[in-house]
Amino acid sequence: MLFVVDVPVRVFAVATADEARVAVDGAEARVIACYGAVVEAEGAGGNVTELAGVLNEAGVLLSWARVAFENGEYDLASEFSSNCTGMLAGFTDRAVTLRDSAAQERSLDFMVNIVGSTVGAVAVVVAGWVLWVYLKRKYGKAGSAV
Amino acid sequence: MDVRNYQVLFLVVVAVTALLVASPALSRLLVWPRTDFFTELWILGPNHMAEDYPYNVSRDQNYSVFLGIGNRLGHLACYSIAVKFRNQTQPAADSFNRTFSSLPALYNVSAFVPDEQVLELPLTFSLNYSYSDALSRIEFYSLTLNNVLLNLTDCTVTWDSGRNEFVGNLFFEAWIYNATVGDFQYHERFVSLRLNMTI
Repeated sequence: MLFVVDVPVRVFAVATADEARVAVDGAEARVIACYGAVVEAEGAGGNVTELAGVLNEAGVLLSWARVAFENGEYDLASEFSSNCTGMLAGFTDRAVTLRDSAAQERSLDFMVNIVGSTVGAVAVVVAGWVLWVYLKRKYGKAGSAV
Repeated sequence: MDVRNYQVLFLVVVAVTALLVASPALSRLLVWPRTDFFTELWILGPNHMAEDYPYNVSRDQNYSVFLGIGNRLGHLACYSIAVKFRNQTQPAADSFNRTFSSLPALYNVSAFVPDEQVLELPLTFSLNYSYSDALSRIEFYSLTLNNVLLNLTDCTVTWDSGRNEFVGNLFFEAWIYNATVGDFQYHERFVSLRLNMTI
């Protein structure tokens, strides 16, 4: 009989204080950069609730990384930092996509609700005036058309 | 029939129709501008109410509270909530002078809150300490916050004979990221829990 044993293999890398510091700082810079991208998306009118949720999860990992670093657990600090950075992979692209689609929606909303309804209101006034002139001509003098 | 008899009625009908058609634009243009931009920060007890806050605490016993952050700043905000612990003699944050405590943060909670939204963070904490008979004081070892062990070995609390308690303050300062400066700045808000360490 053949037994196949699946043994998880983990490579233990020993991180130095400097390496851990670089990893934590890098994760922090990444979180801040992603925050900037989300602010832009929000400024364009996008709903950023979901993206903010991801940032909050990444923020928890960053906090753990900071504590681990302070406690001298550099491997753990590097691992948390790496997880934090990994969680934010492709995040900026998502934020940019949201920003662009929100800008498009805002443009469409402006055309329909601001321009469209303003032009419509002017059209109603003009049509009313034209109708009034027509009615006045047709029925202006008492009994002229009745 | 003289159409001039219906002039007022006609004008009213046209005006009302024009206003109805223009209402989507008016609803966006006639909005009172926001003038107050601020952040709310609060603590609720374990039942999500402003009551039953932990006060008499025992060693290694878990206590739960909810920390709430409400963003009314007009944009997504990046907060860092500094968790600090102090005894009676250590510097506190000051709400009148709007200054933060000079104590180092034991832990920083990151919080990203979109505009006009609220984030509530469930916090579970416990304190590990012992009572020194010889010195008649509480000596702390650690604070565990949401399963994160934080070093508190530098902190002691002496007996407050006036109030008959070993009092300590667990407090939370709000710091906010300022993109212009590129760093976090104190946001002039803090909330605290007054705790009596029982022995």
